Amino acid sequence: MAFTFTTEERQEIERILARYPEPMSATIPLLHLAQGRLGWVSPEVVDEVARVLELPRIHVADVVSFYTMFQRKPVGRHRISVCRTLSCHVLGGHEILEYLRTRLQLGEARSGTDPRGLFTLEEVECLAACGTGPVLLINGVYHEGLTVPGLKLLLDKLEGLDAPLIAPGSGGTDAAPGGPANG
Amino acid sequence: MAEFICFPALQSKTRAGLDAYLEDGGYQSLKTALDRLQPAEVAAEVKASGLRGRGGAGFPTGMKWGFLPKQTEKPVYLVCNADEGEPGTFKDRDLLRYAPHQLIEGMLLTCFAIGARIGYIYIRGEFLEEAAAVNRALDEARGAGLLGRDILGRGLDVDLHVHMGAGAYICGEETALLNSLEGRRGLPRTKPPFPAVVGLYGCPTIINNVETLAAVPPIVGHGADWYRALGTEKSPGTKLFSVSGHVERPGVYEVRLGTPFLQLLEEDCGGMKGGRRLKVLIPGGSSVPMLTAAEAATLKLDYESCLEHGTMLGSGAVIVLDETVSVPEVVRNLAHFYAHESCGQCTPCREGTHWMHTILERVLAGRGKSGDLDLLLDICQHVSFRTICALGDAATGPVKSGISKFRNEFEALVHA
Ligand SMILES: Cc1cc2nc3c(=O)[nH]c(=O)nc-3n(C[C@H](O)[C@H](O)[C@H](O)COP(=O)(O)O)c2cc1C
Ligand code: SF4
Ligand code: FES
Repeated sequence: MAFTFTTEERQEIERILARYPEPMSATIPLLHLAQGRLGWVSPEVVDEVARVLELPRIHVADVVSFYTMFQRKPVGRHRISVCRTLSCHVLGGHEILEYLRTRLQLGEARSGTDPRGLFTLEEVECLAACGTGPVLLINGVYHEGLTVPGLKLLLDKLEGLDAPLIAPGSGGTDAAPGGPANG
Repeated sequence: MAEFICFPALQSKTRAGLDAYLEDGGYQSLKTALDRLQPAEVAAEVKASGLRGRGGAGFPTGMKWGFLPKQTEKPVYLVCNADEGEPGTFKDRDLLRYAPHQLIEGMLLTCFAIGARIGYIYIRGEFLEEAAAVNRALDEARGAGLLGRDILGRGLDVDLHVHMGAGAYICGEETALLNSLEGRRGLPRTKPPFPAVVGLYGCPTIINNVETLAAVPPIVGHGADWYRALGTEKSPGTKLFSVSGHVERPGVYEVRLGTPFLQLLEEDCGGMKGGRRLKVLIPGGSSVPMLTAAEAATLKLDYESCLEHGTMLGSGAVIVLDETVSVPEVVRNLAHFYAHESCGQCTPCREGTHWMHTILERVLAGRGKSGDLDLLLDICQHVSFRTICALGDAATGPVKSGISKFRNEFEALVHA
C-alpha cells in the first residue's frame, strides 16, 4: 500500500528541515513521523522518505535497519519493550520476561506477537531508568518499579481497551488506565 | 548526605518551568556573562573550575573547548549528548525532566564561550517525556527572549534544537552521535581528526554531556574557586551518581567528589537492601571493572581513588549487587549487552563481543570447557585497544575483572 505524508505532516516536515543545514539530517525524524502514524516502517515508508529528502532509497533502508526502534514488520496493537540489562535483571526483570512469554504464548521464542495480535514483546537494553527497575515500555510509555501482579493488572486492562498505538515522537499520554508509575 | 548544590531542581523534582527557574536565580549567570564577560573569560572560568566531562571519559571540559580552531570560516556547533545509554546511568534523564532550563542556560553560556550559533540536543529515542520537557522549556525560553536572535537584547544569537535518536547505545559515542545526527547509521569515526576540528557537517564541533553543560551556570555564577572547593584537589566540584541495584533507596544523588562510597551507600541510599551483604560494586557504569566488597570499603568517589582501585568513575553509575548474585551471571548479562550493541565495523569488537557472550552462555549452561576461562581472557587481549572506539575495550571490563576477582565461581561452573 502506498504511503504518502499528509498535508499536516508535510508542514511538520518543513519545520523539521528548517533545523538542519543538510536535509539528510531529517532522515530519522521523518522515519519517526511515519512510524508514529503507521506503527511500523513499511517499504513504502522508506520510498516516501527517500523521495521527500531526495536521498537514495538504500540510504534510508540502511538507516532503518541500524536503529532498533524502527519496526520493519507490523506489530501487535500494544508493543511491550522490556529492559533485560543488569540493574533491572537483578531486581526481577527476568521474572517479568518469563511472565510475558507465558502470557503471550510465545513458546520457545524470546520475543514476538501473541496469537491474537494484541501484544508484541521485545527485549531491549538499558532504558536509563535503572533506579526504578524493573522497567518496561508499553507503546513507548515508561512503566517503572513493576511487579508481576502489577503488570498482570495493566495488561488485563489493556486487553479490554481498543487503544491505538501511541505515536513515537508525539510525547503522547498513556492509553492504559493506571498510568505510568514514573518517579 | 547528598546536598544538591549545583542541581537544586533534582531535590524538589517538580520545578521544571521557567518561572520557578527564574525565581531560583536562573539565567542570572547568562545575564552576568553577557553584560560583563568576554567569551574567552567564560571559557577561562570553566577551565579554571577543573570541570571534567561527565559523560564517561572525564576529559577536562575547558581543555576540550580550547581545541577549537582559533580562526575558522566554518560555523561552530555545540552538541549536547543526551543519548544516556550506559547501563546503570539515569542522571541525565532527571536533568532533562527537572532541570531543562539549567541545561539550556548552560548551552547558551557554552555557545557564547565557543562562538556557536546552533546547538543540538541529541536525546535517546525512548525519552519521549524528557524530550517533551526540553521542548516545552525551549518554547518558554524563546517566548522570554532567551533563545533566538539578540538574546536578552544583548546581541547573542543562538538556536537550540532537539534531535531524537532511534535506539542504539553506540550513538552515545561522540562521533557515532555525529553520524546519527547527520542522518546516517551511527558508526563511530576514526580519530583524529577530533570533532573540535572536524565534527558535525565537517565543521568544528563541541560535544558535551548533559550534566557537564548543566554544571556551567553554577560555575559561571559562583566562580571557579567556589566550584573547586566542593570537591578535591584533583577532582573538583560535585558529580551526579545514579545508584541502582540492591540498595534501600536507589536514585540520583549529587555528591561532593572525594566522598567515601560507604557514606553514599549508608547515608543517602539507606544501606543494602534488606540488610544483605555487599558483594560486587560497579562504580562507574557497566564498562568499568567491578570491585569486591573489600575494595569498595576503601573507595572514594573521585577520579583518582577509582584509578587507584583499578577502576573508573565513568558516568557515575553505581551498580550495587548483594550476596544473592552470581558473578558469572552478571558478566553474561553485560556480555550480551556489548554483543548486541557493537556496531560491527571493527573485526576484534564484532567477533570478540560475540564470542565472549557465546562462551559465557555455554559456561552458564554447564557446557563450559576447561580452557574457557583462559580463552575469555585471551579474547579480551585481542579486543582491547585494537578498535575504532572504546566500546570494544569497555566490553572486556566486566569479563576481565569478573574472572580475575571471582574466578572460583566461574571454575565451579566449568568443572561442575
Ligand atoms: C560506547 C560509548 C558510549 C557512550 N555513551 C555516552 C552516553 O550515553 N552519554 C554521554 O554523554 N557520553 C557517552 N559516551 C562518551 C562520549 O563519547 C563523549 O566522550 C562525551 O559525550 C563527551 O562529553 P563530556 O566531555 O561532557 O563527558 C560514550 C562513549 C562510548 C565509547
Ligand atoms: S569498537 Fe565496536 S562499537 Fe566501536 S566502532 Fe569498532 S565495532 Fe563499532
Ligand atoms: S538496567 Fe534496566 S533501565 Fe537500566
